[in-house]
Amino acid sequence: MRLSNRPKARRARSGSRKPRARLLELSRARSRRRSSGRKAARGIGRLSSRRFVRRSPLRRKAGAARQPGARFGRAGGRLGTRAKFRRSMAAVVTCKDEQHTLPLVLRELERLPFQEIIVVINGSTDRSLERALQHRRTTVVWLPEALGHDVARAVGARLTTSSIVLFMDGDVPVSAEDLVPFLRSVERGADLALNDLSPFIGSFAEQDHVTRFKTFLNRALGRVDLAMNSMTAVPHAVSRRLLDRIGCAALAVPPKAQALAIMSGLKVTAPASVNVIARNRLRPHNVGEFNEVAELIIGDHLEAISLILQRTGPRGAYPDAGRWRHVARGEDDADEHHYSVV
Amino acid sequence: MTARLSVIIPLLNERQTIASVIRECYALDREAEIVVVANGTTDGSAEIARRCGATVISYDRPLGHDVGRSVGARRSSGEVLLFVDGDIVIPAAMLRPFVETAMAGADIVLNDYSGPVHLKHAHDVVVAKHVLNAALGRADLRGMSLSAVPHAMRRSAVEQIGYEHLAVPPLAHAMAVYHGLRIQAGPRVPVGRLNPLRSHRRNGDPTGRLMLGDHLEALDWLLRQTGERGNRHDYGRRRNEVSGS
Repeated sequence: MRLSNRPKARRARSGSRKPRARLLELSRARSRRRSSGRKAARGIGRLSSRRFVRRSPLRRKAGAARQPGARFGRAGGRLGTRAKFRRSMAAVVTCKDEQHTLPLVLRELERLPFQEIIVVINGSTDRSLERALQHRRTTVVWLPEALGHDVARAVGARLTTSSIVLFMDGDVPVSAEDLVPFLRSVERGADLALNDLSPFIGSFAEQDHVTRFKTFLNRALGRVDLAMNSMTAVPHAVSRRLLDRIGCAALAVPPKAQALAIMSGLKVTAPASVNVIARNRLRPHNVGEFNEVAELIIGDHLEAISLILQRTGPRGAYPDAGRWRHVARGEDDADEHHYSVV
Repeated sequence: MTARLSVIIPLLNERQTIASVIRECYALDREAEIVVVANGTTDGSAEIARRCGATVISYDRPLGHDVGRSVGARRSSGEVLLFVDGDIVIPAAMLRPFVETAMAGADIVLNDYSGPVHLKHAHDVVVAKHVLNAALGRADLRGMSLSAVPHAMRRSAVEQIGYEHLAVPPLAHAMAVYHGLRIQAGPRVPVGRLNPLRSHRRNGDPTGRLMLGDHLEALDWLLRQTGERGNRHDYGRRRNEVSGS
């Protein structure tokens, strides 16, 4: 489409403006998302447009430009040889008013050989956008109005082309070393690598309702081994195969995406544990037993359960163990000889 | 004269305990109507029940889990129904509060027992019961359920739910809560300790799988009444922005 022509004209017009980054209108970015980033020219796009994507001019092949002498695990430095990946990788960070933690999240992501780092600013009113734009390797999607929980994740996922996609939240910085196992797991054939939160939860009596719903969903899917691990929690990594099979739109309701993934026979694992519970910011709407976020997530789980039952029947895959339902209904006159009132 | 209390006891080869179970029920109320639903019993326990004075309805094969409750309830006549099992002997003193609370006007009186919740990874049934109550907006009931005995119900409540649904206790439970019946907690009778799930580890836990299916059936019914999100908000999610993959 016309996009490849547009930047040239813009470059001529912008004249003395220093070429740094590029912003695209999101609707156009969608249609060109599989084209090469090389074609992306520089210059600031129309800021008056509703949504923008800034695409980084810097693109690097996996592990190509590691700084010589950078030591493994050093804050700010790139990871050592242990972080070589054979497959292309993308990170999607969703962010809503997280200006203080977003730079920390991005700094850790930049230590890994991602081909794409996509930051979706989901209706922020603080300086999150400015913070994101300071990172040269990121592609920034600016949504002036929040699209609601997890929808931004689906928006970001659509813009990726890599074979592994890692999902992060802007308020939970995780060190690059802690992210490697999720990427590695997908590289080695998993389709969904979840954060294993089971080491951080207490006894069932102490668990919150959301945790219990997460456990129940996995059990209903016959995956007791997944405990209470869920796509609702970050970080998690997915394969391109998963995105193609269930569709990026499904990510907007994470438990539903998880149910779809498991029912489609994709390989779901929980390879490593990052304690995000302790780091989650407490905000007015996520504190208390049945806060608004908890109600939302419970609704998501019920929606996922609905989906399972639509596909597999009202009892899921579980047996009725030979219940004589017609006897329960009182329709057993034909079986009169079977019983006798003594 | 119709008895005010009917006791419903499903029975499947429980000759060791059935006489004591019936004795405790008569100790509770000499005038009680006791309906034993023997299904597939081959060990003579139906005969024991008859000798103890119970009305015995006898089927020559097992009817499946809890179907006996439907059958027994339909064939009883008392104003209050008390449900117990043939294999768990519960002293009359422990049963009395259930009956008294129901006589006093509660539609349903549940055993205040939530199963073993001290474990990190609780049993399927424990998880399912808590989740169903939370989905019904009655998290205060914790893991209490019509699945567990003993419990008492007024006949009007049973009629509102439908006799047939007593055969799938979690479904009856969901219907009772959804229809706004007055559900109260009775005393705690730790039936799990009196009757640990037998051999479920060896056999791949058939009862657990059955109960998980029962709870899914209950949720299926509930979500048909409320819509697929169970009347939960979406926090203003704009799904159309990503629709069509």
